Amino acid sequence: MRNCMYFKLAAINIKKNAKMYIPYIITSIITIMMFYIMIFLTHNPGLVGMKGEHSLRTVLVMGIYVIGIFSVIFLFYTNSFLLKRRKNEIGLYNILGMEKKHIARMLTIENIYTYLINMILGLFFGILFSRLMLLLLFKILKAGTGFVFNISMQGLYMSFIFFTAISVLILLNNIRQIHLSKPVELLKGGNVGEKEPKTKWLLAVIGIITMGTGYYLAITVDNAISALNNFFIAVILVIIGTYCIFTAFSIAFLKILRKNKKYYYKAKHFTSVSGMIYRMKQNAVGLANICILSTMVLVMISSTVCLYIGQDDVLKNRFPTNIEIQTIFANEEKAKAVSKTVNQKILESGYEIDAYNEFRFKTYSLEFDNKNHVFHHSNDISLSLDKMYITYMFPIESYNINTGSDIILNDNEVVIYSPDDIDLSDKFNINDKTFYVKNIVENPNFSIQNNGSYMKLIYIFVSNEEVIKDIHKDFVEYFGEYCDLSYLIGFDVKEPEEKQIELMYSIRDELRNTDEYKNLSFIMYATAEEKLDFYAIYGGLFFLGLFLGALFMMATVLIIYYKQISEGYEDKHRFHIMQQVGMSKHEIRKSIRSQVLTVFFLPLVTAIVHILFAFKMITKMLEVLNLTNVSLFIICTIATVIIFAIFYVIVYSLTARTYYKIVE
Amino acid sequence: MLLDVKNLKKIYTTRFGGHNVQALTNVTFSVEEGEFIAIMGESGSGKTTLLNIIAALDKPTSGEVFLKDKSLIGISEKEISAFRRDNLGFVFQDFNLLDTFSVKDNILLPLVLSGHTYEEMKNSLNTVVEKLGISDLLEKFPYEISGGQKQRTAIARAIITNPKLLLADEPTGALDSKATESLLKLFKKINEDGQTVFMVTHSVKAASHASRILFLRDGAVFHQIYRGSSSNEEMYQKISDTLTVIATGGGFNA
Repeated sequence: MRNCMYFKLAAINIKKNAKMYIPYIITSIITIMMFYIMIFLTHNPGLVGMKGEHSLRTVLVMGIYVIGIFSVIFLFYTNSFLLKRRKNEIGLYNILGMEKKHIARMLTIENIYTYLINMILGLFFGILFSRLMLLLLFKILKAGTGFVFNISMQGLYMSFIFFTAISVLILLNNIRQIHLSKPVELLKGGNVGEKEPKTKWLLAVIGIITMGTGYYLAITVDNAISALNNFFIAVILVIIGTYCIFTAFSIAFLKILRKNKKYYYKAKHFTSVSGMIYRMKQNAVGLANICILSTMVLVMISSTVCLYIGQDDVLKNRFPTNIEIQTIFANEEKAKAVSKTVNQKILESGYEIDAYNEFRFKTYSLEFDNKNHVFHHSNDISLSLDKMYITYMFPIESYNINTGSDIILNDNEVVIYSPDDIDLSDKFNINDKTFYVKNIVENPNFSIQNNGSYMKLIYIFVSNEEVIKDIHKDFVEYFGEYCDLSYLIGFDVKEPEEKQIELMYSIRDELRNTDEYKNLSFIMYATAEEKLDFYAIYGGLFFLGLFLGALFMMATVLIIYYKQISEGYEDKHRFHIMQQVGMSKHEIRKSIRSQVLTVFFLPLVTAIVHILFAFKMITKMLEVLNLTNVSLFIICTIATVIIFAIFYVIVYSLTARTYYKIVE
Repeated sequence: MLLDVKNLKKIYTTRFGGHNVQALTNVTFSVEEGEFIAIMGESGSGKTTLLNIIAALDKPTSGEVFLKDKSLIGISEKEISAFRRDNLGFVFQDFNLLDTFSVKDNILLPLVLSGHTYEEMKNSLNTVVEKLGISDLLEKFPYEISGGQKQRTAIARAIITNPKLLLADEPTGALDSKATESLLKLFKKINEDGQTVFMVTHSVKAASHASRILFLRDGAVFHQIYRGSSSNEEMYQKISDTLTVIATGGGFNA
């Protein structure tokens, strides 16, 4: 009988606080659902044996971790909000004669109710939508239809354990808080924080310094390696800066405004400035959260979308021809033999070939000393990345064959091609050997990745292979003793992709099974095959970006919603007093609107500023992923920001309605 | 004649069903400049409704209210806030100070809203806070001061605009006896300086400081007492007697 009462009471409490509980429950359900789906995808048997399975799985596992960590933080945050708003009610129960253990029992039952709803519906929707997500993933990966749909026991099991643990921790935390507090404190619980906030100058200064340093790191970055190295530091600094600026700097700034009597004692500013001081105190952390989440959503979606859209470009750069066969360190004789074998196989297949090219080369990553015009080995690539050149050296013969020219060079003469700017003047050195530039030529269209790398590129054609071997002698210490050149054959096949792959395999088998080539090592690929691995990474990241973007977006919406509600309850009282003192409804509404708008759009504006500063750094980082199309990234970023802003405004107008309903 | 209330009637309709509640049946009275009026009556007698109508926060079902010959009933929604700000001062039982403002800013609020310059405000402020003895509290915030001090702040806010009429709703309701005593003396002093005061109260003690007391019963003025030359103690006795009569159901002719 007595227990029955607790169950009833718990149910009534949830129903009565529906305005706050429903968003919480929906969030939990979605979080559990997403967690399950992520595990489901990671362990889907359909991925087994797929090309790029490993890379994709790495990306998806990363997603599981992010969602996991995020759920803990986020569920604790929303729960603390719920508890804060309900302290008043709990205090009342306490005063009416419920002991704390009774309250604890009531809370436990409430938590069990919400837990059951969350878990059952979360897993149900997880199973329901997992199929859709799988289809979406395969669509993004441009993979076939070989997926398997099942219910992932592992997913159910892990989600169950994980979210049960979180629920228990949350419940324990709630009970602890109730036990620690006195009834009177509970009664006033909803109203704490009415004191005038202190100005924390130290925090304000720290905020400006960390934010400034973070921004400085972001805009002074000039190459991919330092971007990668500093990105994490910059992010941490900007996050700290954001928190400090929202919590401390904003209040310091408003107080300075308040000190300015002429400004402050104007009907327009009077209520807004003082109101803002309190709003900032109560919402600063929430606003900083919104700001950081928004920034993450924007960065994640814009860069993954950009990668995904740009992936075909990148692919073209990375794999210039359909099929490529590289023979490592082969002397001229062997190279000729390989060429013969390959051409024999092509002929046998009867396929039409395009863009055929073959050449012998050696390649080094060298640092170019601009002042002395010297190429030399670099001791620390990351420090001198902007001076680094991927240097290809060819005998001029390769150039002549592929372009049909007949250039003849002396041993100390070279012909140069570079898509990047380089100031070689008339002569330059490679170590202490001097070369004279005879000619600068157009792109000979070799199957070499000619952009999309974070290093610059230069081709140096010399009179014959002996010159290259001679140069190599100076590099033995760094690049090994093999002085033979490598040999590359690249060509397109005007046939469907399966046939391209087939041809590549037949050539491979032939080369491997010929005794003559036993001591040679080959690198070969068919783009048609490689690109699946490629799609797995880029598509996987894109999928993860969308997935996590949706999750963070939901979090943003929920924080905004809770913020509006809690502000609404506080403003209600203020609204009433101001009316009595002689402010018209219209004036009050105007003042409140301007405050709410400021508070609301501050995070968005700050997030956009963050993006602007981060832009250069992210472009540099995308270079590592072979994406150099900056204008594409600009378009993606702008589009993401616009869509996000529209979404933000919609959320605002929906939650504002709830807010005004409470206030009036 | 400062305030003229004629045949006020107010009927509330409950939200569900058409059940009507008559808060005021027929209230008529008038207030001269410089009077200190107290309105007494039991819960539900219509005191607060009357005050709300005089404060232009609520509209009567029928009847008229004139403040200095200007009708409050026909006043437009746009003018009403400015009118309230310039002509009326309010003091409430629970002070209604804004916790986001310091004492000083709370007091200045109505002047800021009316668009005065800071210089003008400073002059008015000095006069008022000296009168109320709260000069030392100006930089404090409402949560830092006592109930009596809060109510003084509220009074300062109410009279800084030199309103024609100061409306007080149970001003001593939330104060201890010592604070009540000093607050009532303050009201008296303000009144003696020429401020017309209109106070709704339950407290016999508070009412005994007034120059005239109106008793409301069942939504109409049931009786009134003039001070004449009576002392506070004599007034206290008269009010007690009247309340006893009301409570036991006897009749007077108002």
